Amino acid sequence: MKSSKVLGLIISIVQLGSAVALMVGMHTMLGVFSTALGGGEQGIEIQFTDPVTIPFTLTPVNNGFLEATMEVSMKMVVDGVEIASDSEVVLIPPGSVVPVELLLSLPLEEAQEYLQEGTDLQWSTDISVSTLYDLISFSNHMVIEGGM
Amino acid sequence: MANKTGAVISAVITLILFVGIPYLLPDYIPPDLAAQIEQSGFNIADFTNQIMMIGVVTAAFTLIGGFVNPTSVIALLVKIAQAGFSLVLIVVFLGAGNIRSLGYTTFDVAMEGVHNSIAMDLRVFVYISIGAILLKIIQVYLEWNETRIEAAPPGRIAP
Repeated sequence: MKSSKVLGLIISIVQLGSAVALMVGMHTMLGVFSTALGGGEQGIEIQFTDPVTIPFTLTPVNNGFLEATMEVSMKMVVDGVEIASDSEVVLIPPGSVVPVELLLSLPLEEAQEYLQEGTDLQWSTDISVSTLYDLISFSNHMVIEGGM
Repeated sequence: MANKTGAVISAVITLILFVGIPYLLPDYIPPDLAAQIEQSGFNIADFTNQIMMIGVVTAAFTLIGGFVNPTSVIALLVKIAQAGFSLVLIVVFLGAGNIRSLGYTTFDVAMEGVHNSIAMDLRVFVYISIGAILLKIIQVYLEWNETRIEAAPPGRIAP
């Protein structure tokens, strides 16, 4: 067999393999990300206890064929200063649902000061999904002004 | 003769796939979906223009490649250029129209008090493609060399 034919075969295998990896990886990554957001409707329910707690739950579903890693972080920022934050990293095997529960917590006194009209309040979330042995990733940084 | 016919057919197919379809595609995207895509910072017209340009150049190279002597240096250069343009096409696709991003694409969307920054990292596929295209160039050279040896008269070594 000619050397050019052997090389051609190797190139075809590499290209076919990377095309399959791209499709499978994108399917896993975007599937996990879209289900984590649950259609984009994530309500903020503040529990006015002491300390005041603000829970967030995401339920990413991995309908893909590869394991995915999801990193989620949530911050509450007032006048440019971070006053509460929480983050979590989860591994989501194929065909699994791994709920992610974040909890922002701050003293009642501070909450009464910050959670009122007129304060420059921002909710900042970072969601990153990586797969294919962390070789590809999709990340979303979202800042919501006010939100109260 | 078969080479020339094959080159013409390949060039026509390339034009249909990479010029005809991208040219017609924007008309078939529903207006609300097109508006959403535009809002995300993705420029459809720019993307399709780049694909069409690459399509025209690739079709031209295919046509030239079919009409020149396969043992000539021009044939070798045309095939190397074709391989190079296929890499450009892959990078444009993976970068969603932004060739300079080299597979790391970012979109910024701001609306109704919400600012969204989306980043997609597909650089590994660009690196794999660069490797595959470098191998392709070696393969093209080997093929060209084999063709020259086969075309040389018996007992003669190709220059």
